[in-house]
Amino acid sequence: MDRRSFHKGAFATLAGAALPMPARAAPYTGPNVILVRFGGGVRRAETINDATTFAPYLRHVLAPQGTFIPDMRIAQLDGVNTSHAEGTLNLLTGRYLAYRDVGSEFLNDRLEPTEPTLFEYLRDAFDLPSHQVLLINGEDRPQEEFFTYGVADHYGIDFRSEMLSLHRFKLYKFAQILAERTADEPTLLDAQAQYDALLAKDPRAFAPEQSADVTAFWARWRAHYGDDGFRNPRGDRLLTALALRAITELQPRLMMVNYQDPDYVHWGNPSHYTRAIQVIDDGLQRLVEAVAANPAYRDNTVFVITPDCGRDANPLLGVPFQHHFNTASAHETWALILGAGVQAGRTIDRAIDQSAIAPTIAALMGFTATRAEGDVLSGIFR
Amino acid sequence: MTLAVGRPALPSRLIRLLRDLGVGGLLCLHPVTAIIALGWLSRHMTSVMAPDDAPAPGWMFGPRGAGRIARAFGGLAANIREGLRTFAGLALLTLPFTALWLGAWWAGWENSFNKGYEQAAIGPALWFGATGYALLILAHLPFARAHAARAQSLSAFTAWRTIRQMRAAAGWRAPWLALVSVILALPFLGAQALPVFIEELVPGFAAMSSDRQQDIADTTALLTATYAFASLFLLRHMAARIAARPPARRWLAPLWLILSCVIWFALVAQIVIAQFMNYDPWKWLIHPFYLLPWAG
Repeated sequence: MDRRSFHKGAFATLAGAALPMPARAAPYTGPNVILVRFGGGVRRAETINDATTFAPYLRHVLAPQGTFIPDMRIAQLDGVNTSHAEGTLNLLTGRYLAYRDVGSEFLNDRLEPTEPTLFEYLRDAFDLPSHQVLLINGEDRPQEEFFTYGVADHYGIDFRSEMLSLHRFKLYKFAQILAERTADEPTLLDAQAQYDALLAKDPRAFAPEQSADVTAFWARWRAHYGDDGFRNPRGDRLLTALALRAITELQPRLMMVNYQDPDYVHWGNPSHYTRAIQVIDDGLQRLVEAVAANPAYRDNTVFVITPDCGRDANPLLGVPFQHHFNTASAHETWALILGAGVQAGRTIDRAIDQSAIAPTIAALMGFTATRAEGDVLSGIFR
Repeated sequence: MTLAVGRPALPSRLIRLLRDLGVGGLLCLHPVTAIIALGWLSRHMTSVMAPDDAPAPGWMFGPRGAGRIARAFGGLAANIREGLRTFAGLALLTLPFTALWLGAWWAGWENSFNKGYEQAAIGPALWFGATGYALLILAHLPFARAHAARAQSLSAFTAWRTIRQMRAAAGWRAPWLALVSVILALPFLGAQALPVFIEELVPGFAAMSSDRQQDIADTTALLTATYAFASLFLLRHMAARIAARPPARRWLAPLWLILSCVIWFALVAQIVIAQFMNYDPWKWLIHPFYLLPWAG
């Protein structure tokens, strides 16, 4: 047994023993929060501009129902990059540069948070099982697959969120195939190789096992969609499907949905960007409708919708928004907060820093993100 | 404008060179006028390979002693005629792989966007197939151009036996020409990729008026066009001189061909990097070094 395997086993045991959380924590009675990363980096022009939006549901239906922040900004600080992993961790920790590199490859950031995430603050403050604090991730974004807890000595693995992604499903699937041993030998060998490859993508010294509830979630997913990956929704539609199932089956109290596909415009096809925005917009509508139809969520849920970063607005390029390379426009985002306890029909007409998102979510849910540096947007509460 | 008889003195040649580079650079600013520059470059190759039969090309005037209209516009007409012929010949050779590159890039990422695992291999397979073909064409292209310039016929672009013999006869000069080409192509990669970082390169760019931003774009285009013509002038001149030399030892020809292909792959890599940085579908089809000297 190598060090990595030992750690995995040891920490999985510790983590298992830690579930559910210690009785000292109070039960959570606040609103559910669904944090939607309108991600892959989007510009205001194609999302919240009245005339040019590709997200009509977001702009024309949702925005009037909540507090709209059209001028959110990512701070211009040394070392702050306008990219997805960084932006996501800004949103989750309420701090800039709250991460460290764990072996990035070309075009593939590998960061891990060094400050507590919202998940840890929440599970420290309240008695919530890990499967009710969820991160939903795309299938080919390993750089954002391991944000379920911070690695510094604040809270850590016992306070982690669970992750729903195809990466996790495949871990479950291959483990099941290997446990069942009903497949032929080549299939088993391939399953073992793929299982090991998935584990190897995790840069952390130890990785938590998936909880029993999430394992059961994957069992139902597998029964419905099978093993081959050809039947389940794909791209950002997959994230919507996972989120909708999670609402029904796991009932998360805090869930972050990491949409990502507008980023495909890096390869130069503008329609990938605009179509991806439309797909997210459609996903938003389905999530809002699912929340309205579910008694556990209706009138008790807050949506926080915001991009991880902006994109370039470069007039010298054929596709002005092809990248998000730390330009002024890439620092410009927006946010929409709507739902229980949040003022409707309000637009904040001043610049708001991205680091305000995490402490504001914390305030909404009744805890304090003590190490967040941003200010709580207290004026948005009813 | 120019019709050289004999060999003028050095200052005169330098002035003429600067004038040719200036005129050629301006013509390379637009795809239509770039045809004229392309024709002039082909005529320049002809004059290098057969100086006794073909005088140095002019931009506008025809030969002395021709009729009035032929004298006034003969050079321009010859440039256009030769430019169209060269463009057609080069397109015949390069469009099969450049169009496949365009399709593979679009379809490959379209497939990825939709996570279409079923068709995952099609894009890469198309691209690699097209690239294999491209390397063979690129290794022969300087000699196809030279042969076509000498023969002054469109069919010369497909005279493979002659073109192969010319490439084999060039010996080590074929990979040398490839190496010079891929090095000289680097500024095109820069011209396409650097605008991505314009805000870092030009402080305050984001806050400039659109007119000021356009001025910067126009200046960049002019510099790129001038460079395109100058680099092509050098490469065509080299290719013509190589084609006019006596044959080298041919038994090493397969080695020089393989080496040429390996070196030309650097141009393919430059094009891919440039497209990733700043995508323009036309730039799969039209690169100054294999089709049209247009700065884009």
